[in-house]
Amino acid sequence: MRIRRPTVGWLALAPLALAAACASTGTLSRFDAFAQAGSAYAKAVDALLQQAAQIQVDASSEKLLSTRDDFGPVSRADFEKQDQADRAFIHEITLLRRQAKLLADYFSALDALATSDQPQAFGASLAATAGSLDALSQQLRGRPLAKSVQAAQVLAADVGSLVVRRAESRALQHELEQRKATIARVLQLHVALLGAVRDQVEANLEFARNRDYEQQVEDPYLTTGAPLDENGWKQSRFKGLEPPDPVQQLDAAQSAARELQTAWAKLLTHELGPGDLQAVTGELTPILAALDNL
Amino acid sequence: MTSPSEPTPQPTETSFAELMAQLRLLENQLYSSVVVEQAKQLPEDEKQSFASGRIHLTTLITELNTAELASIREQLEAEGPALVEGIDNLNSSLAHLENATSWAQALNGVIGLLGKVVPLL
Repeated sequence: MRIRRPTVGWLALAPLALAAACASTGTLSRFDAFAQAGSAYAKAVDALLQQAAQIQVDASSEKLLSTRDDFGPVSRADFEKQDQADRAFIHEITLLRRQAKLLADYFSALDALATSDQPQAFGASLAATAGSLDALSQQLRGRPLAKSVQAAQVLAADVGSLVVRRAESRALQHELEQRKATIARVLQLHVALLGAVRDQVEANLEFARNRDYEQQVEDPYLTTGAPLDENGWKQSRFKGLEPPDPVQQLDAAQSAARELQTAWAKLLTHELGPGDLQAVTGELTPILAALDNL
Repeated sequence: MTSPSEPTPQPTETSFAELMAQLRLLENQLYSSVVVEQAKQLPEDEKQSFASGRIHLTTLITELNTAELASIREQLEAEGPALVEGIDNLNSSLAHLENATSWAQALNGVIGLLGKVVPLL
């Protein structure tokens, strides 16, 4: 049995291996960074949708209670109709969260492929193979496979991982090309969705905020002669005038969806820079921190 | 009046947003203390009618909110199969890479075995 000595072949491949490995690694790290930003975005959208359902039901509860205080309880039929409407809203949010989860799953799969340790595992296997081949070669022919077994193993690992990394990079590129329009459309729909949810949340919060503003700001101020805690009053007035946190979070998420759309287009044309993804994560970090604290 | 050849104007996204803004404004006014104080002066049956009408408006707005989200969700669902296909493709590529590694490991195992057998020949 004759064993070929591929030492020259390995060495000839070395410069190419290093150059191409750098290019492939760069491409993969862009995919990886994009996938992580996308996953963070999907997580934020899921939490914001959940929060929107809570705000919707809280707002209608406030209105039912307010009606009860002002005019007595509404009829059972009216109460049940509102229950049914709230239940349908919660169901709708559940369905939307399912769609957000699908997008999260897509970004997770992208991340898994981009950050796979298979290139290293494959390289390590080839390195071990090179070592085993050398041992076998010595046994069969009494000569070593390469002058330096260690060098041959390192090269085997480099070239092996390069081959897999390139395959990985090609698979990612091919998939992204196929999904170019779909992801762009989904992100465009998310911009519309977050805009609609933002308006609904703002309106739902307005009822309680108007009542609080009236009681804590307008009434104490307009009632002449009554003592006024000026610092507390100023704080309440500021709180009542600035946009509520959930609305600001939804605005930020909508901006993140737009930034992600831009990043997606740049990823496909190889123009994606760190700044593009920082714009996305910059919008999302405060949202995720605030929602984690809830 | 539009002629038969002219297309019927379709409600646009803007007109829906405007309608919602007007309904929300009206609802806020109906819950404001000024209006509530006036409504409390009404005869009992009219007072109950006001309270019932107000909660009907709240219910209607909730239903319209749901419909608005449902319309976007339906469009998202239309993209669902393509996303699932993408997830399958990515997972399948990962599986192929894992397969390549397992082949390399298997090859290594075979060579190792040969190494043990050769001295015996």
